[in-house]
Order: sequence, then structure tokens, then C-alpha cells
Amino acid sequence: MSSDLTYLTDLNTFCVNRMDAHSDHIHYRNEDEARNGVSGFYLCLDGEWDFLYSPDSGKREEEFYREDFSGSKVEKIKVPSHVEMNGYGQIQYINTMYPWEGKEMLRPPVIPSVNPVSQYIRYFDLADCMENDRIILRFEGVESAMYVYLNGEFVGYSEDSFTPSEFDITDKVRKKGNRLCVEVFRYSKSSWLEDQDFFRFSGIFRPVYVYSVPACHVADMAARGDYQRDGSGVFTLKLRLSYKDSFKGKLVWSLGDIASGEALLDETVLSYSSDEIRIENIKPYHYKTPHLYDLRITVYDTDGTVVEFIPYKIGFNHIEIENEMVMYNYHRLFICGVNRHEWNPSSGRAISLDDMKKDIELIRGCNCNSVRTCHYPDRVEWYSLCDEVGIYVMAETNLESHGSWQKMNAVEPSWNVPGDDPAWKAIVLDRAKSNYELLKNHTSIIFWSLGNESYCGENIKAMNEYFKNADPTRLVHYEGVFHYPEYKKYVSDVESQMYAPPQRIREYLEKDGSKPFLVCEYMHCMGNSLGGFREYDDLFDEYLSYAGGYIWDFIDQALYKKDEASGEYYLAYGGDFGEKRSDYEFSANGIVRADRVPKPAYEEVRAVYGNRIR
Amino acid sequence: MEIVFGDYSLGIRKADVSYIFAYNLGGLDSLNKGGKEFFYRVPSLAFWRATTDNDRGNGFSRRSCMWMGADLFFNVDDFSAVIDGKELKQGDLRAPGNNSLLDSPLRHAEDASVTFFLSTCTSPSAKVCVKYSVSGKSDGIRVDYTYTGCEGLPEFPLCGMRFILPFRTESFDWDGLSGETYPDRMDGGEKGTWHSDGIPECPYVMAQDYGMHMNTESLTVKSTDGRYLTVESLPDSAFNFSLLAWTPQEIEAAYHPIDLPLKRRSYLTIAAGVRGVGGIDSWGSDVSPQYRLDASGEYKTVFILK
Repeated sequence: MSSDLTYLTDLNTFCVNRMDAHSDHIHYRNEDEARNGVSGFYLCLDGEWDFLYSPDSGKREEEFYREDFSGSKVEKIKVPSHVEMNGYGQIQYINTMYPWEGKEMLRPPVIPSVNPVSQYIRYFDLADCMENDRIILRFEGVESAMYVYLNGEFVGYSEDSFTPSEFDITDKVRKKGNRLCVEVFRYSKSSWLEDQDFFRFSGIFRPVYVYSVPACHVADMAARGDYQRDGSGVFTLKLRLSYKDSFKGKLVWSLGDIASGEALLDETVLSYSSDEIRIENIKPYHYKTPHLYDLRITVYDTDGTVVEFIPYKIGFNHIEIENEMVMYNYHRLFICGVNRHEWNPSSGRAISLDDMKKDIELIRGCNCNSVRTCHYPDRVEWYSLCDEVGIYVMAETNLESHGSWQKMNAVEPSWNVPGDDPAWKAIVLDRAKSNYELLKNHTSIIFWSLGNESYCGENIKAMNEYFKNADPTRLVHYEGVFHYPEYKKYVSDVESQMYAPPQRIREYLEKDGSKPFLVCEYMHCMGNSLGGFREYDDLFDEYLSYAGGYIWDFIDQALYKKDEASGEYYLAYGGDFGEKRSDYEFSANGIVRADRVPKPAYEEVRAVYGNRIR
Repeated sequence: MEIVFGDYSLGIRKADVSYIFAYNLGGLDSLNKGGKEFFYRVPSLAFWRATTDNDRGNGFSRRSCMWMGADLFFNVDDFSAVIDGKELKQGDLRAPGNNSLLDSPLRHAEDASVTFFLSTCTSPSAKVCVKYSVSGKSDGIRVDYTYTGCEGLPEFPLCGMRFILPFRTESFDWDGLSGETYPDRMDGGEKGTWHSDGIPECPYVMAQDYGMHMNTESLTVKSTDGRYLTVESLPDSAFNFSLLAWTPQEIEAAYHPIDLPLKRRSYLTIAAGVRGVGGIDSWGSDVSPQYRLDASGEYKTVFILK
């Protein structure tokens, strides 16, 4: 069967056959592999794929997934990348407005009638060592909706552009000569939830893997180190296990040399929980001293052979609100933060590990101690980098719908998503769950954020409840409730506002002050800006409940483009690609330029944040 | 010093330096050192900066666009001179008054100053007085700039003087704050002696004002052909400057730095007042009140050109 296009707008169908979200731990065949950082269980499918593009879904090659398909116009494309950065379709920067503004009058969940489609074909063989295992196909980021086929058969469907989607392909995969087909639609109902202020792209823009799962596998893991007021720590470890067939063996784990445990396993043992283990004299995790302990989990079979080995780094910390103050390890926290979009001036949001490492250096270099992953989960490697250097993370869920309730610069929620409509509840809860389950083991995460500028209502409230239940050890952040104050008692642990002038912050803290104040976006660093930065820093001294904020933002969104007059390349911003509508130069608000050269304002951040947190 | 009482100008000639003040143009038309000219045109009155994103967002440029014109044109209302303590009015300096100076001992003097009384092409019009002073006992030419405002004018982004240098800048060095600083963004500036190779490119993707340097004690500009121009402050009187390769109007018209013309000249602005850049947001919030420039006030700066 060809793709059932009703999925694209059916609110009940945002995933088909997609596996449950789980921790981002990586399993290795043995410790040697882990030391080298290359898991023999994984086969990376990145590279050159066959490609067909259709600007209109009605004119696509519907049969491309069939093994007997013989298309004549197959081209090549690099995976991962955005199709628009390869010359297909239209590059568009637009802020609040939905990308179809002025072209089609739509209401959710209806999508544009002309929907560009990218069809990808990749041939692959399994590695010999994978043949007896379960085989999982993993996409780390595909925008905005995809249908997956393998060897002519439908595998599954998924949305949510910024979290991994996994499919169990064990019963369809061959040892050799697999034909993987992915059909990506630029627009889906998710487009109503992914209205982030950024360049609008589509396609497979993060890595793709096939990995194998041995006879016994730690399918999910939740490890948490809670730092106690007396300097001790409480460690808990919970595991979910999966098996291919019958299995007998054991599991052994250790945390540095301070805690350990083991358990006998067989295929009926589906979970493992350690006790709450209390450990004296813990070195706490702090942005100045990001101490992490090595968690090592090994599964053995009855012969004592290692089935899989899982390393992870876990720190001990404690975040809470006490007397309307954000307290980290029992001391007041000064959040000197910055919002970060993923960006590269040559490849958009398809970024490299080197880009991430450079960002870590630049963010530390100007004395930021926290980053907000605006407004979606980042490539998963980012969180480990933050763990290692001590950058506290506000981990934001992939949700932004400001075009549905901000109209002509006014708050106008006559229709809005996700709102109160029960039909939108499961889809946004799934986004929250995907964010939490993937990232829950990262010590650097101090806030879960429900998304950005998505107004408020019953569905946002349900997301807040989800995070509170799933993870009582971290705080929940959401700003959009500011526009719907009746929900403040249900939503967000902090009073979060954006672009509040210092005086408005004083007014809240003087007249209300029932929650700590956090300015989730401030100091809009568009062009020549960041004047008056120190006035915000002064608030730390004036009010104990002022928790700090996140500068908007880290890096300009601009793309290299050739100037036809001179033949030289320059950094082009919104509107330079002939797109309408656009919000033009509003794409570029970084403290560093798109090419990662610090702007003059960077020095101001370095000085003011440095005085506060050094 | 030799004083040359011309029909259009007053010249001052020292051993290796000469100056020509253009009565009709309202200022110092020539600064010549060692036979090399440093001025492409008479200094202009500076009242504009290329709109920053925040200026655009908060409507400043719409409210204050009168000053963009004032930055291009100005009125010359009057001029006078004082030579060795003897005051000469416009009527004494221009024909036929100057005929009586042919045999005057004032043609050789130790101290001379020329003052231009200018006014802005705004409605209402504000007064600007620029006094140039030269002494046989010291090097350089002292410039005293005074803007005297009046009620009814919108805020300006900047007020001062702009020197249009006929050369490309190879490098410049200054004593003051590192990097780019504005009144509300100076914490990142570190005091010291700093060097820049050439005039930096606009660091912003949308071309806009950049490159201001607050609280400077001295500046030396080196041209690509080896000419040096130095600006010095007086004790306890630091100056603010920017050195760009384009006028504010050229930058205003550019969407991208790459749209700007080739660097052919250097525009040195010495600012008595500089508006902050702001940053609360880029769609409405103005800069804090203490960093706005009220055009009804008085603004002064003084410095020495060498």
C-alpha cells in the first residue's frame, strides 16, 4: 500500500509502529568498544542516498517504495541535510506567522494543499555480527512527517521533527540487499505545533542508524543521583529489559567505586530497580566543578560472556524551590543563561559534533552557566557535552504555536493550538514524553520546559502534570501561561516572562512574588544591541527571588549565499531567498554571528556574567 | 605662524603644517602636514547613525529622521577669528574688510583661533559653534565643539563632528576601551591600548551603525600611504569616536555589509553625545532614559588634531 495521507492530518495518528521513547544510553559489545566510542551494535546509514523530490504530494511517485520501482529521475542527496539546502523547494525564514501566510487560509489541523515531498532510498546490508539480533531503525530528526518502508513493506509513520523515532524492523530486514525507503512530507498537522521562529526546512536532517539488540538488552534506564543537604548522595537505578528469546544470565552494575549491585536475569525479568542507595561524602555536580561518576552496566550470559556493556556518566545534584528562590545544591542559583538554536551557516540545523563543541567553548567563554534548548530537543550529543563541562540545561519540548494566538502583534487566541481541545492532548503529551524519556539521565538538566509561546490551556496543563509525575526531582518551566494567568496555579514552577523590562520584573517581585522570577528570553541581541544588560544583573542584588535569565540568543540564523554582483559569499538572512512572507533580518539575534565569530556584545556578556558567577 | 587673510578663507602656516579655514564652507577645509592633505572636505556636523535594528524596532528612526538630513547639510551663519588676542569679525575678515589687513602685524602671530557659527537644517534650528585654535607654542589644532539645542526637536542618535579623510585606513590605534562600546554597553570594554588592522567590517548581517568607541584618550589613524593623523583628548576630557569607511547614509541604504561600496575614504566621527543601543527587545522598547540624547540640551566636546 502507498502512504495513507490521512495520517498527516489525523490528530490520533502521530506515530504508527514507533517504539517507546527511551534513555539515550548507548550499548556496546564490550568495554573496549566503549573506550573507543564506537559501538559494534550500530550501523550508521548517513551518506549519499537516492532521492526523488516532488513539489506537490499529488504528483509524487507513489510506488517508489516498491522493490520493482524503476524511476528514471532518481537523484542523489546527502543524509543528513535539509532538502531546501540542496536546491529543492523554498528556503523560508518566518517568525510568528505560519509559513503559508497569505497563500492559503487554513485552520488546524488542515495543511497546505500543495505539500512538498522528499522520497529517500537507501540500500544497506547488515553487519555479520548483527544477524542474530533484533534490528532497530533509528531516525534522530526528520521534518516534519515520515512514512518508512523496508523491502517493499510499510514499517511505520512518525512526526515530531526533533526527537528520535525508532522502528523494530527485525521481521522485515534481510542480511543483504535491504532497500530502505523514507517518504518525508514538508507539512503535517505537526506544522501547527512547530512554528518556531526559524528557517523552515524539511527532510532527514539528523543521523540515521540501524542498530542491533542482543539476546538481553537494557532497553531503558533511569539513573539519578540526588545530592543531600548533609553532603551525602542518594542513588537510584531503574532498568527496563528486553529479550530476543529465552535468556539466562546476570546483570552487574557499579557507580565509580561508591555503589554497585547485581541481579540474575532471565526472559521473565523485565525490570530492575536498585534500592535507594545512600553514599557519604559525595562530590556534588556544579557548573564550576562538574563532577560525574562512571556508571557501568554489564549484562553477562551464563558462560560469563559479556552480552552488552553500557557506560554513562551520572552526577549528584539537587534542585528545588525554597522561599520563592531557585536553589541548586541548597544554594541560591544565579542563572546566567543563553538560548541556543542549532545552526550552521552552510547547512542550517543539520549541525556537526564540531559545531556543538565550538558552541560549548563559546558559551563557556562568555561565562554562561546555563543554556535553554530553544525550542526543541537538540541533537542528543549536546546534552552529554553540557554534562561534561557543567552547563545547566533547560530542556525544552518541541512545541511552538505562536502563530495560532499572536496575530498582528496582539494576543488573539480566538483559535489556538494545542489549547483545550482533547484531540490535541495525546500529541503534545507524546512530545513531552519523548523529551523526558530520551534525556532523563542527563545531570545537567535542571528544568523541563513545556515548549515556547504556545499559549495555555488544558493540554499545556496536562504536559505540566506529566513532567511533575515523571520527574519530581527537576523543575518545570513554561512562559506562555503569562498570557493566561488563570492557569498559573497549575503550570510552571517559576514566573517566566520574556523581554520584560527590569521595571516590570520589579513590579512582579514587589506585588506578587509567589514564584521565583525567570526571564526565559531577554536582551534581544539583534544587530547592534545588548545595551543595558547590567540593569538585569542588578536585579540579582535587589531581589532574592530573581533567578536570572536566558539571553536571546546564542547564534545568528544566517546562511551563506553567493552575491551575484560580486561573486562573493555573504551571510544572507530572511527574505534573501525570495521567500514570502518573511520576517527578514529578525532571523539574526546572536551574541555570535552565524559563522561563530563573536559579535561585540559577546564581550559584554563575558564581563557581566563573569562578575556574577566567577 | 603666518596668517593668510584670503577672500574666501583664512590660512595658518607653520613650519611643516598648514591649515585653511573656508568661510563659505563653514569649517577647516585643509589640514596639511608635510605637504600631505588630510581633509577631503570640510568637516560635517554629525547627527545620524545608520539605523540599528533596535532603533528601527522602537520607532526611533521614524521619530528622529529629521536628523538624518541634518547630518548631510548645515547652515553657515557666521564666523570670526581671534589673532593674538585681537578679535576679527566676519566683516573684518572678508572683502573689503580684509584689505586693511594687508600690512597688519597680525599676519604673523603666536595664537590664532577661528570660530564658525553654524545651525542645523532642522525645524526648529539648533546652534552649533565650532572653534579651531592653533598656537605657535604647541603642536596640533584644538577643536571645541558646542551644540546648543532648543525645544521642539526630536532626540538624535549622536551629535558631533565628522572628518572626511581622503585616504583608506591601514590601521588605527587608540587608548581607551577595547572592542566596540556604546554608553549602555561598556562593561565588556577593557581599558588599554588597542590596535585595529584597517577599518573592521560591519559585524552585523543587516548593515547598521557599528564601531563606536567610548571614553577614548587618544587615537592615531594610519593611512595606507603612510599618513598619520592623531586625535588627543585634554586632561579629564575623553572623547568618543568611530572610524568607518562609509557615511551613515551609505550604511543606511545597505541591506548587507556586502552591499556597501569599496572602501575609498575614512570617516572619523568625534561624538559629544552617543545614544545607547538598547536591547530589552527589538520591537518597541526604547533605550533606558539616561542613554537617550535630548536635543534641547547642550553637548560639548574638545580634542586636539595632530
